[in-house]
Amino acid sequence: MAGSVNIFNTGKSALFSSRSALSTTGHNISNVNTEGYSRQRVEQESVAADRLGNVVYGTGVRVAGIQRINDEYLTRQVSHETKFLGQYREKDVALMQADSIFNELNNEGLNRLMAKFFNEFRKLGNDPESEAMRATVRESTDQLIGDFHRISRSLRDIQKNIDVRLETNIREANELVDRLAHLNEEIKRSELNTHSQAADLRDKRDVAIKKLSEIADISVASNERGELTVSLSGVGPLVSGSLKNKLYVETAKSNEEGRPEGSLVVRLEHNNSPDVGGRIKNGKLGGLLESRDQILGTAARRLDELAFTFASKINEIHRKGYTVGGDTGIDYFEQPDSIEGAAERLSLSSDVREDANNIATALMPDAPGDNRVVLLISKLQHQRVMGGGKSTFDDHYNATVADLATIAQKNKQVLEHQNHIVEQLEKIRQSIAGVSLDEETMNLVQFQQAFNASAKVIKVADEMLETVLNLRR
Amino acid sequence: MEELQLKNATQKRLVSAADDPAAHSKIMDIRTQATVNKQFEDNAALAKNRLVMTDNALSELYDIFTRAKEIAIGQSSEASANADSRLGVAQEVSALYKQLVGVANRRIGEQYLFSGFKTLTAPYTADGGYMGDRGEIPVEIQKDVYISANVPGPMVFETKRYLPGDQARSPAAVDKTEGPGSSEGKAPRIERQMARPVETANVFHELDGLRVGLLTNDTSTIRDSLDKLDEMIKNIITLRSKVSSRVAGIDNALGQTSKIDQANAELLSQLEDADYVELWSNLAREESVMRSSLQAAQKLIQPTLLDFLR
Repeated sequence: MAGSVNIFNTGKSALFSSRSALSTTGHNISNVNTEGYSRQRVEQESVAADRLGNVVYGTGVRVAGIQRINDEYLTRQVSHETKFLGQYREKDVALMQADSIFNELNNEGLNRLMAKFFNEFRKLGNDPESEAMRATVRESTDQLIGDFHRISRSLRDIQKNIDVRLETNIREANELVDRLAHLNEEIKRSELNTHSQAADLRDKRDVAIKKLSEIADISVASNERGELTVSLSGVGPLVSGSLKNKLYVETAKSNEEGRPEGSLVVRLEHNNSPDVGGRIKNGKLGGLLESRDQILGTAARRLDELAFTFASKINEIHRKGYTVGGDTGIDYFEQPDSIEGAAERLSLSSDVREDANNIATALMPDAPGDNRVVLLISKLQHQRVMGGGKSTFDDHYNATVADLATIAQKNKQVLEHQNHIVEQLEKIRQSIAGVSLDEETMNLVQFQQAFNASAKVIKVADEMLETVLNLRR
Repeated sequence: MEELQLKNATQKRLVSAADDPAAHSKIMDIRTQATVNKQFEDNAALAKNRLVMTDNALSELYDIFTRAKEIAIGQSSEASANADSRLGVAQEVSALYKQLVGVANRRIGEQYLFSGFKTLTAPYTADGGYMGDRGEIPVEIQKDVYISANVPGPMVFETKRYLPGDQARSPAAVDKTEGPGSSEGKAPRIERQMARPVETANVFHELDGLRVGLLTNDTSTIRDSLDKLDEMIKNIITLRSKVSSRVAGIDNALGQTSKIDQANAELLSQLEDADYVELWSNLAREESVMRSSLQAAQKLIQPTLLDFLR
């Protein structure tokens, strides 16, 4: 007999391990809806056997560790694809807003007002003597100017809005950087001297990584102590072990790539680079910066070009004409001094604003019926004066709108596509790491039976001991 | 489905430019064209009105000159007339003269028909002095097609021969200063007003000459004026045919414009309007997809092991 006391110990070990299996199952079930949770499994192993003479007796079971079921590669893959999702989403938001600025399918926009502007000039050409007609021309010019202002301000508003989102995202990224550094430390501490993983902490860290990669394009590497090094791709490290570098924003001047005056640039602490924004390609930050500088910046610049050439060309002709009062050399628009900001600053010249009779219609003085200047102006509508003689005002504006629309359309498609990819990957990850209630319920029953049986073992051992103790009576 | 709903509500295929960028930019083009064409049609109607008025005036002038010629023929020979009868018809000629001045200073609204660009100045004084200029007012009746909507007084009231090539002058002087690379050749055909006459004869002076000839019983003067009157009548006939060919040109342009409009309207509808059959079949499809996915979800949510362990 190996001793009834040993049977107690065996039963006890079985009882303990069943209980820890049950509690892990309970933990799994309670975290069925927790984001990023990986199901855990108790690893059990048999205890080293006792040797008694020639016979080897097993002495029970023990818990070797609790492992989380997870596919590292898949988790990385999800993070990797998520960065595109973040990028496309932010672009989509900005592009939809821009689209609504330029959308004139059902109302008046710049395209229609421009056509109207030239038409009013044609009407004035039929009736150059009429002061009322002049006032109408000026009125339609005011509308056109108003729309130039509306569009350029709305574009600027979206860009400002993007700056706000940029700041919010940077703040969120910094919180994640904090959390990651903290988790690195905790994981290192809790895994010290044990073989099992700090499963829940690692899950939390994976979630933080995924959230961070939605914001920016990051690369991740781990070391043998289980610490992660997270770097902003192409820029520098954000987290290394428990050390961290934070991102921050600063207002800056406009630049060649379309960044508007007074908008934000992204910088990294402890990094000499003045602006890392240009190197952030993906993630929400990448999407925001691309939308602001490349997409909206281009649209705004092209609008400025339009306003500048428009005002300059009309002035050029208008200056040659004679007004009702016989004056010549008068500007129609306030001559813009630079392309930048031309759309926002477009306005009537003070002469024309004060008196509609200062609209020059005639090519020679004292000829109220002479409409030739007016005709030359209306003729501009069909002349290729934009882009070095390549396109008309209409072409230029329509191309701007069409470019935006094409980008929006393409982005919508890739966004949808990317959504599918991430969804699919999430599903696969879920099928491996996710908690299945069916399985856990089965485990619950199984471990309960094991627990009952272990209790039975102890009970039997107890009865055996009692039998032995009663022998003396 | 939401998108389809919106399309159904607006009855448009395009809700935003991103739905079909190419079609959208075409739509913008067509719309601008339509707006401009509408204006061309208005322009054409206006020019036509002016030209018809001018033609009416010319027809009155024809009557005046023909009557004057009749008188001149009647009074030029001693056989059918004498000093008394000449004195009598001199009255009529002076009435014709007044009528002539009236026609010469005819207006549409505020604008004088025959004063060139100086539309607010009466072109002829009572003694036949011309106060206007030789401006021909261009009106754009089709893209890049300009037509003069007026006939400057001297062309009507002075017979003259122009040196060939002086009339049809190409682009306006304004465009020339635009420098190289500008679209010089395509500038409006705005004629300059400095054709050099070789020989002129003023209608007013001729008619007055006739009157004086009649009053002074000077048959040679009367006979002289016959030639001049003939030339003037010829001039009027030429002008009338010119004016009516301009009107025909306008009608032609109007016809073309309306054809373009029609074609554009068709294209626009094709590009922009929702195709009902397609829209409804899409809606029906989306609905059935949604139904079946809901049903599938209902089945999927159902059983878990927990249901069986109670």
